[in-house]
Amino acid sequence: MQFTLPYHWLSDYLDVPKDPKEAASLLSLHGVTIDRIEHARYEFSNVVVAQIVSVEPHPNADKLQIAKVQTGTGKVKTIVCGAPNIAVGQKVPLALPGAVLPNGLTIEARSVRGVQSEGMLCASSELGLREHDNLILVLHPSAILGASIVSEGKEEDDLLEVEPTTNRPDIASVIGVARELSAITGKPLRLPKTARSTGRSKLPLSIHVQDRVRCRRFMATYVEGISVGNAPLWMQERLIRSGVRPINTIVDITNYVMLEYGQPLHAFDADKLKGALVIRPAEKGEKILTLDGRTHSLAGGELVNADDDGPVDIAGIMGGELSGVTTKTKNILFEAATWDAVDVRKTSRKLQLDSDASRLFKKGLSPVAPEEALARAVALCRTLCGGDQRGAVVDVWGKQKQKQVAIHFPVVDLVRLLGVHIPTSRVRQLLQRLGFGVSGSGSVVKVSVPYWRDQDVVASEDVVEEVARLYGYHNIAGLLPPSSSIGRDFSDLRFSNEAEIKEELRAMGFTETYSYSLISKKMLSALNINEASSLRVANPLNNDLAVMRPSLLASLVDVVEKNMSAYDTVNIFEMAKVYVPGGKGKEAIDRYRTEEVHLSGLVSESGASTERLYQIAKGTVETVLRQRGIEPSFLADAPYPFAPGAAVRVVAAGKQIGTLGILLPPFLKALGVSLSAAAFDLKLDDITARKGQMPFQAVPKFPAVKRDMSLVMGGNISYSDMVDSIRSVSPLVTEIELFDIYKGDRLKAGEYSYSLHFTLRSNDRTLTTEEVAEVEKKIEKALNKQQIRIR
Amino acid sequence: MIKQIDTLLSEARLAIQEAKTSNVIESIRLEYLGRQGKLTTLLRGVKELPVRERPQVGGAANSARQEIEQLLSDAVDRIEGGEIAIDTTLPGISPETGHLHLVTKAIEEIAAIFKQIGFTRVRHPDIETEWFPFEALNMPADHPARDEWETFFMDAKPSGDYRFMLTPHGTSGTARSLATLPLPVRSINIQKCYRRQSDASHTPVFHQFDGVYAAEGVTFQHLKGVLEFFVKAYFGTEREVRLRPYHFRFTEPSFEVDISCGVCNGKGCRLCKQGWVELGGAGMLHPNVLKAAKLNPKKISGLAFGWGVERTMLMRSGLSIPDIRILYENDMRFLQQF
Repeated sequence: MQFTLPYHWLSDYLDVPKDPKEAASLLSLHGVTIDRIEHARYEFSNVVVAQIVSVEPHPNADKLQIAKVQTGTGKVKTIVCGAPNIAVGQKVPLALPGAVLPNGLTIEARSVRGVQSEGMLCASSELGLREHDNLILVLHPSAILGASIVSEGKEEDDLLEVEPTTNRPDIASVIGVARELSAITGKPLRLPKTARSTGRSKLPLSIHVQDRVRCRRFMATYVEGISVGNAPLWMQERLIRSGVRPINTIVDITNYVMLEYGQPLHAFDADKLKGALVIRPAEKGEKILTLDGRTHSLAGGELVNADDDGPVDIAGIMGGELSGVTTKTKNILFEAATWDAVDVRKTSRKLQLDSDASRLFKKGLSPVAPEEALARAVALCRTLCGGDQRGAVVDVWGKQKQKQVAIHFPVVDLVRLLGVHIPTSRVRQLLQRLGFGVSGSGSVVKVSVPYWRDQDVVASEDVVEEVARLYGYHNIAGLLPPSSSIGRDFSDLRFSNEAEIKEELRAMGFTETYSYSLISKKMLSALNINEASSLRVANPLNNDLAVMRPSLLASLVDVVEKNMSAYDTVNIFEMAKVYVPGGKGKEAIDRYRTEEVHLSGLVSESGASTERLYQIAKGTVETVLRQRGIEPSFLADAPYPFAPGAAVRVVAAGKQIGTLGILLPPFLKALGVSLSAAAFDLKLDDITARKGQMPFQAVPKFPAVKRDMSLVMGGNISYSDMVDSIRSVSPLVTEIELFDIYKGDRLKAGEYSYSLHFTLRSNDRTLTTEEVAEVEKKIEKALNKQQIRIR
Repeated sequence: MIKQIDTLLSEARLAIQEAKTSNVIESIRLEYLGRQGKLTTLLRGVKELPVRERPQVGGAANSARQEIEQLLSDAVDRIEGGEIAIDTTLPGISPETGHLHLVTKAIEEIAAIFKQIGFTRVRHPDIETEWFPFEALNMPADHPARDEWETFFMDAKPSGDYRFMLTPHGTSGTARSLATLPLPVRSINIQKCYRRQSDASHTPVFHQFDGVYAAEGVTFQHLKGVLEFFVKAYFGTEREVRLRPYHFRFTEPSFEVDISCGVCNGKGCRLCKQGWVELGGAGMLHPNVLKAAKLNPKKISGLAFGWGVERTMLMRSGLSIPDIRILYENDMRFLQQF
């Protein structure tokens, strides 16, 4: 909730630092965040106040008139004017020859249709004050003849963009900020004097507050015999620079006081109210046309001000158009009330209607606040519009009167929470500067809270914050907590294992991806998972983020799809949680869902054989597990989306932890990928929970003999069976490494050739050539028995 | 024969000139002067010659041998003296390594800094009921504070009064740490968070790191110390830290932590607020938060802070990424830069 504060307005209430940057810096440091400082200035020059003494039609133009004006020098000037709203007696802005207007126009004396015009009367839009307003700006009667129209205001000003936090609606006001700056700098506050009225008689209009729970206080004053026009330019200037559009004097006064005090006000044209004004819940179907031009059909229950004809104001949010104040209004009812914050929020949401007033009420205002604001509005009204108060001030309290908030504050809380000792005398001084009362001098002092903070400062910890922020957090030194304790279990294992695994994958050429943990329903169905068995979001941001992902595989395929036009090889992995419905545990949340960390990877190389893709996936998994001291084993058959005949389930340390192998083409196609790919998907929690132990193996003492061998076999024997039969021949066979697979023209159909390096070694002697030859012969015999021949 | 000697010498001279490594020099030496070497073989043949011719041929062969030996020795000096020439602008051959994601690196770096001051790393759930993200953090139902979070709710029957939801902040983890870990609690929770917003500075799924330290005797001084320690360790010692009083429901007092702008050095520019950039929030745990975790606020006090991982990372000068969403697009041309 932003609040724009013209610096010059602030200076009405206290002596401010010359440089607004200094004020901004002090305020931000002590609790009022100033985001930015903007600059404002009038974009015109040489425009003075003139008074119209006569108006005549232009002899040569139907739509023009000739106005004679005087500027207090005695000389009368002739001005040709095209606007229809000029009249004798009005004070208007006169742009003299030499004046420069915001649109770049320079005014000169010139002849208009045969009549010499010695200047130009200006509309608000021509002065850059209001858009789309082409009527001549009629100035307030108090404007000084002959003076620059901005002489009562400020030519140029700095605008502080204040960012009040939700607990500080009091800072969304000029006086609120002034109080803060006064407390910080110690300069005294100069508040407007507002005399409280002492009228006693009854109002011409009866007011009845039916709902005294949601209306915490209702105050009103009746003023009769006013004349409504445009507010003086100095007031319009402050409103415009604060981001509020001037309408007419009365409406402007209510907005001005709201900006000044942070208390919203409303004004009714009293003559437009029929019968009694009742504060009650609306009935179903009642309608109201609000000031913004929208008609609301009420559902019933919304708190409204209503007259005999129906709702005239949605309490705390917006007034009705029909009872609004216009330039024709003669008698008004000023209302200043406090509405229940939660209720205003509910109604505002229901009707999708917000205003400056509702934004303030929603944060919780004090029911003591209306008093001063109402008195101020009435005083301004009398000065600027004339009129007299009629009858007493209406003041109806809700069911619960606001008691003065007093907090018993144990002074020791300061050192306990802040760490530094602040003498009680200084504590008292700081609190008093903020408007708090402090009595007592023992270990517990009584702190009474000023009304503008009574919704926010309610307990001891709030008092600590008030003292500390004014004392200045920059005045308290930082300390590091004692860094550790003996025997403390840091339980870091999971995270250090995860980091090591990521680093290993990086070293093996994989690129890490981060996809959103929410996926689309399309991706879910590509995984063959029913929507009903997924964790769905009730209010998704868009279709792509609809359900929590139960697998990382679809996200990985999606990444391939995005990159495959630019890359031949996409080897990627992601380590993240997957989310599945259901679970074990006492708490409802644990039975609703299970979150588990997975490591999934995808291998795709353009032109690679299926076997090669599979082998890379398998080798990656084996490396990762062996680094943790785990020798994995593999079981045939794998669930969707893996191809059952080209994938396996991974077993580690006795538990089935995942799958690896070739992905089914329909799965890939459903996500837009027509390449082949292998993948692996491992559940990590069991693997990363322990420290891997890799046994030490003694370095061999005797040299090894390396041989190569190419075998040809048919499809009925698996690689592992073939390797087993080689090993079974002799314990001297230590390593066997497959380095080539050949399927081609030189072989019969259905045959393929494996090329192997194998190593023979003995632990206790150097092998002789004869021994080696003998083992080779035995290997050949064993292989031939299985219809495997050596090439 | 003299002619043969001359030919051999020319060959040898050429070969030695081309030699670039000591291996090649050695093989030339063997080729010409070794036991089976060409010149050696020739020299052996001298005794088959007529006696008259022997001195002349022998002399020529010997002088050829001496010259070859000298050239070889010079070549060795040349090579060992580093006078080898190749085209050094040839491109390097680098092994194909993979890449870790920027967010992983940021998380590791952040966790490592906090580990130095005794914060244990934890990772709390993404999917919660309204208890830990709101209720336990002093934000009761119907309080406007709940409106400000742009929360994702799950499509499921509520559990009693509490709906299932995706946590919008890592502070739900703080509430969990307080409720489940033994005192003193000092942990840094790094997890995924979710908010219904997506623009150049916000992604709907992002990461936060939330720290909490609760024990007897924890004061604001510790909060300031911890925050200053992190900021200077992560951003550099020249950066200034400012604690600006602010408001959160779960801390009292509350702050927003600002760091001096790295672009204008605190003077004020388009990218910062009067010379400061907002990093994140912090404060002393509100008594209601301690109570919700069944801790006695009169005895125990705590500090807490919660910041965005991506935001903090992007704020370090040197990485000028204009749209945060690129971090989650997984374009390999981006990922492979790091």
